Amino acid sequence: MKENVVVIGAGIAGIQASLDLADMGFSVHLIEKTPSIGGHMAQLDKTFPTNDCSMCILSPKMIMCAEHENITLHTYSEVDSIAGDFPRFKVGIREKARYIDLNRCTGCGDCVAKCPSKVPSEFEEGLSIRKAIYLPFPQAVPRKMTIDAENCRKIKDNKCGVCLKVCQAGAVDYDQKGRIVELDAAVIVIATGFDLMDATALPQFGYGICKDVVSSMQFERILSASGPTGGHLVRPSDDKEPVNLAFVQCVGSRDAKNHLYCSSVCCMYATKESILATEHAPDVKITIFYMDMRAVGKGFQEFVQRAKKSHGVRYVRSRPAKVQQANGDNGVLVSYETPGMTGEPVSEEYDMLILCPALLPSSSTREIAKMLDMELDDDGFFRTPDIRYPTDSSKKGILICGFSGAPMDIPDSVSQASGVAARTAELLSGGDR
Amino acid sequence: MTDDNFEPNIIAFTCTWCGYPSANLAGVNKIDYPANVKIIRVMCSGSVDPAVVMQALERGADGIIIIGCLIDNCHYVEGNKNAEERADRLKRLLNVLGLDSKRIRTEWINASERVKFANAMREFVDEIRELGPAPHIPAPKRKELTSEEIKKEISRIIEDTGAFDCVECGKCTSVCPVARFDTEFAPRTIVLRSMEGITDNLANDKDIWTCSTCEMCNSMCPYKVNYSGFIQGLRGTAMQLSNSPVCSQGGLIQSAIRIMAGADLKQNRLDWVTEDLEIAEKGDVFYFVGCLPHFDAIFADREYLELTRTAQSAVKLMNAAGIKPAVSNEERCCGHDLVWSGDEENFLKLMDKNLELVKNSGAKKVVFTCPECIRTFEMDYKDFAEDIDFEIVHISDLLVQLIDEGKLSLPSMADEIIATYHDSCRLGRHMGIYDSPRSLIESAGMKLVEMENTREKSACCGVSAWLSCNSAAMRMQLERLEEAKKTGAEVMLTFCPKCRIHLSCAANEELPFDRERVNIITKDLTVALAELLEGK
Repeated sequence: MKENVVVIGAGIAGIQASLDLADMGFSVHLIEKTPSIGGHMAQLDKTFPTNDCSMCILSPKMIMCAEHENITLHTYSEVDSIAGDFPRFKVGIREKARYIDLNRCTGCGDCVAKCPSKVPSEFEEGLSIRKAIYLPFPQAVPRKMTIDAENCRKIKDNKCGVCLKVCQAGAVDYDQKGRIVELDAAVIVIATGFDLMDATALPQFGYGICKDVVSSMQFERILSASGPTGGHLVRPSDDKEPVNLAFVQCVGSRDAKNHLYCSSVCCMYATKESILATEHAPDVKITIFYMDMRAVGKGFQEFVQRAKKSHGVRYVRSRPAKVQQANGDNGVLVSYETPGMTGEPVSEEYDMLILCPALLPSSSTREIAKMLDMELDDDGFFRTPDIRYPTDSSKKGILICGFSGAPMDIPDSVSQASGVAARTAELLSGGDR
Repeated sequence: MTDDNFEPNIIAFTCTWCGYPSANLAGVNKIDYPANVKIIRVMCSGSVDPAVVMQALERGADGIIIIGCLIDNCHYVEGNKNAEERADRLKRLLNVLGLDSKRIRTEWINASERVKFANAMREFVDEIRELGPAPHIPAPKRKELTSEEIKKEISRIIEDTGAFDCVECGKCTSVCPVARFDTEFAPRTIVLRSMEGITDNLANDKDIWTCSTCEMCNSMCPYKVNYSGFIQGLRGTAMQLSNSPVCSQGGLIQSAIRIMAGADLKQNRLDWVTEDLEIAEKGDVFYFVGCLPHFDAIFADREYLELTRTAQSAVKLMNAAGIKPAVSNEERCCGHDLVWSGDEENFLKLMDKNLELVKNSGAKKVVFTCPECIRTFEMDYKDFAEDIDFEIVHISDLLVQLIDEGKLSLPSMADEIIATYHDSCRLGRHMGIYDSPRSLIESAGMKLVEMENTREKSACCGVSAWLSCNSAAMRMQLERLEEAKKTGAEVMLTFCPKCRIHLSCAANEELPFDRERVNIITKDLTVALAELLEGK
């Protein structure tokens, strides 16, 4: 009999762990709270330091997950309960009602075209809209619609109902109820990933105040060919191409008043986004306000050198203290101190400002830790107390991979995910040193 | 107190045109006058800085006589009138301090009036002999520090204030109000120099005195470096190396404070207590008035400040809520200005005296109107003294509490006044008191409009601890006034007497632009509330 392994979180770490475990012959249940697997990596345009297309790497893996005979996807689902101990956990999975019969929906999109209810798209970081019945992004897996009950006029006010009418497959079911699936699991893998810190909490950086201040994830979408601007580099206030761009690193991270730790990937993705921006718009001038250049990894330092030499990216070692609206509605005024021994306060105008906010352990991390009575460290990451087994949590049989254990980039998350698969096999084969 | 053998030490400042020639002529004519008199020639009696007079008294002079031309005969038209007016203010200050105001005298003597000169000297020396010696305050002790010791001391300061965590991000300089106008000054580089062990220049580093310690940097620092504490520490060490600041008012106020620290004089601090005010000698609630009476004397030429009215108003408000606060004539300066100008020795003397005083009053709660006094008790005293068992409360918090408990009610204002509130650095960023003042303004039925930079971001009044009053400070002051004016408010309310002194100073200078831009009344919030109570 194949043993069950539950993987919580279907970002790149969860996907990789699931695939490896499934290939080993375990029966994997992959739980994802959003309608599609893929996680944050699906939102990225390119990956550093090679500028490979992110979706081109991820998408095949997503499809493999869906097609693998040993993987059961539980999307739009959350962990309801976990009880028991290694190797006999009992997991309750709450599959939320998506008001769509997954067996019938073909993903054709007729319903989306007709749906009158518009909501900011989570996948596009609020830069464009989606409908109340939606596919989060074109490559979503499973390619099935979801009705977001909060914004559906039929479910909320019993008006409309147009999707039911247009659906030729008869997949829409407004009376669908969520259900709880009970499972036995030998091992639980946690890969709950990260959330971006809400930069409106730091008004000094002007996020949410000045139109042309965006988060790095929003900028990633702006750069993406499939993004809200179709890959055209434009700023939000007037849809014009910016000439002067600036990045601010360590927004809320490496900050004793917010999050003391380093988010570890921002130096590199800011460099990546800078290079991409200059490729989209060759005349654009880029400044990165950084604290310490943390280019720790194969080819990373070379990547930064390339940004400086071939793409003219200007790195300024300073942390802006004030971001204001520049004259008029467009652009921003950034105040910072010039580095070196003769520090001078200066203000410079930029057409657009990109903030690199702290990456926090995702909100699910806390919920799951509470459910399992697991230890988190001071920064809210899962504790992995044994240095010999870096994916072991404080509880036996519960393994951690990816950003929920520590800040890390995609390659590290992937190798940790594979590590988790190997560790699962080791634990279940009786090997436990 | 008169010692039979006491010979007073007299300094005579004589003007070059009449005072000095009259002395000269007395000598040439062999007219006797006491040898106690040491003559210092100045160009004009009007050029004698009050600070110099105060310093002479502090460091061993028993009496000061200023001699100028006859009134209306001054070679510089009105120099002697200025001298007279300054002497009057100084006399007021001496009176508050408990030094006899007779110790300062002005005489107007014509160049030929040699007998008058000699008589004046004789009379003055006799009078001072009668008064006895003035307290002689020794100069603060200096330690000879080796460069090893300096390094060690700086390391300790870096450790204590968390400056070691500095990542040189420069947020401090970007928000520093001084750095905006003084390009030489950059807070980050001061830390950087210290961290890199560049300590040789501490003996003549002027930057450490330029900081206004407003803590804008502290509030911004991502690594919670206590920058103001760092500066306070460096100043103490710099003082040991004889690096001293250029004080505004020539150091007059620091002198006065050192006299309070070093001498046990019978002060006259309570002249502001009028008959309608109910005060006690002892009791649960002690009201720490601070240096308002001294400032009233020093800034007597700016009648509109009416600083002791703050104290009267505070007592009135407390009386209205049934509190009869204890106030004391024995109170001393809290020492704020000394600890921030590097003089820890005299600061500690003041602290001991004040803590003893509060202890003896039996108070369980000490109420403050002055933001500097409360910061000094709450932070600096608690750093140095262990047994502080009384509650430290600002009047704004107290009044809000009394209103909430129904013990005090403020009548509503007949015509709604539009007011803006200036958070002083000590009350705001240092103490974190932002809400109570605003809540009081609203309870009083005033319409509160906020300035662009408010609460944690409140702009600085430019000067702290009477150090580094310069053109950058003035620009900060004018900018703040302009900001207040822009709100459309009729009045700018604040709790800090010094903010009012500094802001009004800039507003009354000659300005290169239309005065209307900065023309806004500044008023003490305590006074405004008490006026409301009286139905004004």
